[in-house]
Amino acid sequence: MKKRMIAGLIFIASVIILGGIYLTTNTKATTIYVPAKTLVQEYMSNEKSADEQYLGKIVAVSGAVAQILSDSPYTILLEGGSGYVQCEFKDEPTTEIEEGSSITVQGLCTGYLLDVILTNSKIVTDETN
Amino acid sequence: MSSAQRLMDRNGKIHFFSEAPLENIEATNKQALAALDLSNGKIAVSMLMKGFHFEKSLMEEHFNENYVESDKYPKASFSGQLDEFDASALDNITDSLQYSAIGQLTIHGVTNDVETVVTFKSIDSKISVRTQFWVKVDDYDVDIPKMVISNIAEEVLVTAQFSFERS
Repeated sequence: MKKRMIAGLIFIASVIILGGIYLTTNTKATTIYVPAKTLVQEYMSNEKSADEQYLGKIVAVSGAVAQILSDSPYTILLEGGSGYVQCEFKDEPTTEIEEGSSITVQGLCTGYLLDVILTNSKIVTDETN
Repeated sequence: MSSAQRLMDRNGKIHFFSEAPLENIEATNKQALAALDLSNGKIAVSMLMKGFHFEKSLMEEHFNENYVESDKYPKASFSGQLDEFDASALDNITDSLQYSAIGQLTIHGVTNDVETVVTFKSIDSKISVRTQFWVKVDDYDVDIPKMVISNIAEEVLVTAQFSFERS
């Protein structure tokens, strides 16, 4: 009886651990890393194919901060060459962002208007890249 | 892009609300694009459907996948005209200024005529613009299964709010 219980507990524990590993690696795998310039270029040249690649996906976009657009909700523009990537933050970033500095922002790509748009964004530090 | 003739807001706010028996449904998009042509009073607004955020993520998922099919129809848009618009009136708004607007609203790939009243206010160096109108879900071919129909109102109240930097 006791043996069975221990075996059961081990089984449950391994399911939780494996599930956790699966989920974390899975979300990491679906993040698409792309420079702001490339993302803007792809959207400007073919919006439909860019949507197929990025719409509804988590993207990590790197580029220089062109403008801090709004404080509430915190929204910035990343320089993308012939256009911008607009990133709306979920929470105001704890580190100060300066115009001109190069950063990587991760968020949900919702598509393209005048800018390529990210929502629920956050700053990702270089260490995690 | 001449900024003198066109006012633009790239992070306008669109909110919709529906009161339903079981629970109210509301969502906000804070990254809508709006442009007002000062030479002729034409307005153009566009927004991304996946940019609407709900309190419950499950609601957001249902909205995108089952109702507005945002992978297939990623955008909603309005293009219209302010009636008897005069740009010089924006320079001296005392309290508020109202224009009626008529135009076409496209959601879920379906376009309908919409009439609304747009209110302009002057706040510091900015011009604040607000409008509110009802949208009938049925007019935009949004299929809501009978099972959940009692939980979703047939009409939703849309509020749009923009802020334009004076040129």
